[in-house]
Amino acid sequence: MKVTLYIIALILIGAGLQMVFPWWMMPLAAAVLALGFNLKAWPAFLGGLLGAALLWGGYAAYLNTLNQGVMAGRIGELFGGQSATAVVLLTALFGGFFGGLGGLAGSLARNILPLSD
Amino acid sequence: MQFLKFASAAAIAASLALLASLHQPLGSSLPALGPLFSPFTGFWQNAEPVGAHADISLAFPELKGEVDVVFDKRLVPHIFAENLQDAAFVQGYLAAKYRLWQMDIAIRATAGRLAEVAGERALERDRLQRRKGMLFAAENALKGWQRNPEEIGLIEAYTRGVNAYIENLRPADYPIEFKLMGYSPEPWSPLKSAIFFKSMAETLSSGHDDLPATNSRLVLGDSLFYFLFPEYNPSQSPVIPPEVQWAFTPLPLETRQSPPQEMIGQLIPHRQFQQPPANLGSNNWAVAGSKTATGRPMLCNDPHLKLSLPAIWFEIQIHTPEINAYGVSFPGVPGILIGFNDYVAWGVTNGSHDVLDWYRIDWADEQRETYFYDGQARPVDKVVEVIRVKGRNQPLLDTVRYTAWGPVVYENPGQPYFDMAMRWVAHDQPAPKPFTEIGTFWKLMQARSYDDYRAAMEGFDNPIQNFVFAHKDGDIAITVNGLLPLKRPEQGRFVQEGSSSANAWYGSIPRSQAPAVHNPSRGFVSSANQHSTDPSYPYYYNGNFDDYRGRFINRRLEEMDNITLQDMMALQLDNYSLKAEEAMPVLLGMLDSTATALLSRPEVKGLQAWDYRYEKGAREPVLFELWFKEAHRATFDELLALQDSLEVLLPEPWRFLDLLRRHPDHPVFARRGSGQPGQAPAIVTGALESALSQYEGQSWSDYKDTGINHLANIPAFSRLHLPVGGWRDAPNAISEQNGPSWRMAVSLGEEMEAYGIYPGGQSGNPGSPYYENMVDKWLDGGYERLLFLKQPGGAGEQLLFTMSFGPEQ
Repeated sequence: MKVTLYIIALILIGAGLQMVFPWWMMPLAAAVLALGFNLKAWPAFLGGLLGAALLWGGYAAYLNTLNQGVMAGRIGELFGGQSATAVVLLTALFGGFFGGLGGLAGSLARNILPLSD
Repeated sequence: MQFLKFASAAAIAASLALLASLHQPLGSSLPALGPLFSPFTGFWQNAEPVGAHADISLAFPELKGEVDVVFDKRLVPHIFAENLQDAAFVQGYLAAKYRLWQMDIAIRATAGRLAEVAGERALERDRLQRRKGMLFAAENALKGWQRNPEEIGLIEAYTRGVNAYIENLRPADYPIEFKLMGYSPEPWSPLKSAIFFKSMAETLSSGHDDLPATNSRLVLGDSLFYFLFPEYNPSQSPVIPPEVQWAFTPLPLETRQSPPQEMIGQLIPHRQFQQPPANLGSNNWAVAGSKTATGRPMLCNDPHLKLSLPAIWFEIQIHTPEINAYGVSFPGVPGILIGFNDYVAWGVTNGSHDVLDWYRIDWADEQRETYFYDGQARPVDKVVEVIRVKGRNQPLLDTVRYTAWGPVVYENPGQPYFDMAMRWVAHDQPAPKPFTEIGTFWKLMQARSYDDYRAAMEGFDNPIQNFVFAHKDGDIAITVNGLLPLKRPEQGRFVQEGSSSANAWYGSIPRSQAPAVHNPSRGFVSSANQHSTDPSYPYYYNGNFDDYRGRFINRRLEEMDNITLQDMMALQLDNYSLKAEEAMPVLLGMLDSTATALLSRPEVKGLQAWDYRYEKGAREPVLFELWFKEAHRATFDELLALQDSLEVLLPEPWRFLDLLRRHPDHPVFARRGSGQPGQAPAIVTGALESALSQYEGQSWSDYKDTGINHLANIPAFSRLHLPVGGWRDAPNAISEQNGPSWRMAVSLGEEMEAYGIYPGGQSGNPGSPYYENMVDKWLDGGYERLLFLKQPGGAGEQLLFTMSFGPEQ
């Protein structure tokens, strides 16, 4: 339950932050929220991964649909002949990787801060 | 332990995030992947929704009135403004909106600022651009513009429009190339418009072969040199029909105290810098009502520039109380360069005149601070070029020396006492006059009569252009326009001695005496980069003129009658090569007795039956091109061997054919080493054998391999290996990388009926459905009906959306 809330919060807050601030708000938000939600290492990593992947992949998939794959097709070609769908997945994976890492780092910070129980 | 775990996780996350935020991390060629892949900032933000076009309303205090822009179904903006400056402002805004990166990179490439964003690999190119004085040329052009309030007013309004767009950009909105190359757009300026304009001067009027000509004359001796390299092809059909009489008294060339030195009696070891490809060119023509089905004139133009994505052209209509014009513009320059209005149509082709000459500089000191000029040691003007290079902490400083002639471009450390300076029309500050090049186009956009057209010509200095003109009420005309240096015979054909002012040009040919013709009796005017006139023209000029397209087009226009617009388009798309038509009988007739076996081969039989058309699926053009090239190479092998160490000329194709036809016994047809003259048949037969051995049976389009490259040569943003016919000698001059960059055909009348197409799309964004949406139709020889609106609306479903601009909301 806590992880689900974490994922939802990460998507909402991550989206809000990245409208204005650079892309690395994604791992930073995952870290801070993992700390706030007081998540253990694995849930924080997987939750961060899933939340960020959903946000990046979902937004990319949405833009890709509107664009009918024009841009992603070219980017896929640029990165060695990938399909537009592969580029969406790659985007999700990229975001997810950093979200997971951020979540993990946040969770581990719990143990060294006084607020940890 | 807990801390260590956290610290390592945090450190890994942070360092990877940092790595993904850096452009070209750890010396790789990767862009910053984090911001690039983020759907909030990266390439996803350039993925334009297809088919969604919301109306936009914007306010800018720079505007004086309301401006409405409607976009038609091909994303062509139709600007309706209350005054010229507002129109120019919005043109600038839209140029930036659709072509911002292209504008940026064009300026960098021309002015020598590529290394700032591309690093070391662009450094030598940048240095050359600086040495060529491209910025010097642009600054001088700008000084001319600034003298004329109306002209600079338009350029400044355009600049404000570009900057109004840039100022409101978030990094997420940057064109994708900025994201990939890791830099940001800079503000535009009038100087940048001048630099863009000078990029055209560089492309179209910087050709020269003074160095190889000088060397060839020395190596070959005068008699053989003049035999191999005549300047005029007697069968040429010049731009101005030969029946035109020159009804003026030519200016006498002033006599000079010291006699001019014709050429330097020594070999020039310098290598020439890379020049625009020889197959850049264009066609234009206008036919009188007496030859058309409508009884009114028709005008066509197809400029053959380097094909690129984003395309060099941006289609636009500009409507104000003074103007209603439609045509193509350059992103970076206000106005329409080729187009039509309610009364007239106009177009341009390159003049191809030699307006760039080289002067040998004799240094008076080893530091190259002074040079000999009229018996004195004159100091050079040193300009220190500061070239910033991405990845270097310190900029590279390069000193360029300016002489009375111009910048010293060619330097040779092996010969400390002589270098070469460049004398180029495009460097010159225009003489004071009411308007210059930009003004010329705005005058044409407003032209309502032949007299308006002629008046518009006055402002235009460089590059030399053949301006074709037609009026709906019947006038047709063509003017070879621009600043033509006044030269004594053969001046500037060879490198000249720079130590004497007696070797300078004699001024320029008076504009009233420039080659021009108005309503010639033959009922048409045309140009295709061929000689402007026949040799009866009283002034000397030289250049790199085309030999075949113009002759063929004139022959066709002569034959045609009751012409429709479809006939005109068919001529633009004609893949017929007059060169092949003339060469084939000569080559076949030259085959010797050993060729019987060759003649029975099916490929050669096919060639004998060939219709001289460079169709995409045809195979004959491949074999012909190989054969011709081999024969030319085998004939001039001695010259080719020299080219390894020295720049020399090779005879032009027309002259080569001429020699085969008329002088087959000449010693040039001696085979290398044999010393026996008169071996033309053996050379031609051997060339066919050699061609057959290279010939792999591929189709013409596969062999030619036409491609439209992205401006940063990114294959994913390019259209490569295109199935398309045509060749540089045919009207449809599609070669490997150059070709008709805009095809326009206009039937003039009370209602203008106009068609056009270019190989690209209105948007410069590879993520837009309008990036290259016209390429396929262009490949198939299709045209778009150009939507020429009277008011902002009324075209129904043909319109995509509207942008409204006003001084305030």
